Amino acid sequence: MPKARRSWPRCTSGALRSTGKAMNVVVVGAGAIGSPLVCGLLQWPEVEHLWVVDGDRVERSNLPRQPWYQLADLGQFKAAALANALGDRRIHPVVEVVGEAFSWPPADIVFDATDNWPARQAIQREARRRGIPWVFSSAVRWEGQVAFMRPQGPCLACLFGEDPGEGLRCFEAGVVGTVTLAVAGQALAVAKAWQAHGEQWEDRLYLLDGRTGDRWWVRLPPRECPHGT
Amino acid sequence: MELDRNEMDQYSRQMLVDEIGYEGQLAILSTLVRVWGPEPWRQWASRYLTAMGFSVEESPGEKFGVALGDHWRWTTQLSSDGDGMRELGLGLSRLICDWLGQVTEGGHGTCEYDSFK
Repeated sequence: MPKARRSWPRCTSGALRSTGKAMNVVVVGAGAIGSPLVCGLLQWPEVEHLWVVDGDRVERSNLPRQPWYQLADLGQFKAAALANALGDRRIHPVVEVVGEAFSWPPADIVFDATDNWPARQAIQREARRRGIPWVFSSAVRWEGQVAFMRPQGPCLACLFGEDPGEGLRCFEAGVVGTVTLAVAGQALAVAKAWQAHGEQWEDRLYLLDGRTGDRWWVRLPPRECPHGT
Repeated sequence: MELDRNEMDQYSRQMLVDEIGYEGQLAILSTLVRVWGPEPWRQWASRYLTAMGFSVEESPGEKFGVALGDHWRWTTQLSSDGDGMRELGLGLSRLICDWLGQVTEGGHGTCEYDSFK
């Protein structure tokens, strides 16, 4: 059965770098990275609308690293529970999985807070189609990664190869909540830095290590993506 | 002390991490952490540490600090933006990882960090 398309508020495309102007943000994933990320984004006065997209429900095993949820939220949709917990009218919960049929809100930037490649590839496709940036992020065990993805810059294949596989996910390898907090903070920091520096901002993949408390980055070559994504 | 079924379910992903495991989770659940400093990070640290299973006591202060048990302490200045969130997450992670390395070996060690710099 086809889904009814929503009527989203008007897009303010291109406003991200105009500090002080309204900005529309989509965060895909309301879990360990997405929930602190949403909290941080709400501190940005420029954020006018913030869509939180997640089709998952709160499970008991989420609680140690997703402390915005309580026992009373078990079984609730994460996106709705997060909106309820934070009580900010700018948050629009969307209880869906991103994929081919997903109706994307009119975002100026998309934050990836998922734990799987199909969702990241869907985010990348949509961001490139619209010519907007997105922020890649991931965490497993004590390690995290974050990259700011410009529409004409390196793509996922440039960073990780054309067939990176699914890799370890947190339900297989475990993850530490404070590491996901650090990853969310780095995702906010790269978006802010790009806001400040615009096209002068270098493409970098940030690597975080919770064992040592270290952060470093790999500079990505300043060239067009050859993968046609 | 043993974990019941609900606790096993709740902390399962955390215990999958090699440095934590079952013994580490038991140590976390029996350890008091003191957190002091300005908001918002005092409350954020408290929220994350409590969720991991620690018992947490909070108090106000000018400089942010965490004391894990009697011997492990981290103090720092945190900015109020994404950098502050990242530094909070990384600092707590390192402190917990180092502490776990000691307690699961049966010792308690002593360590005092100032911003890890």
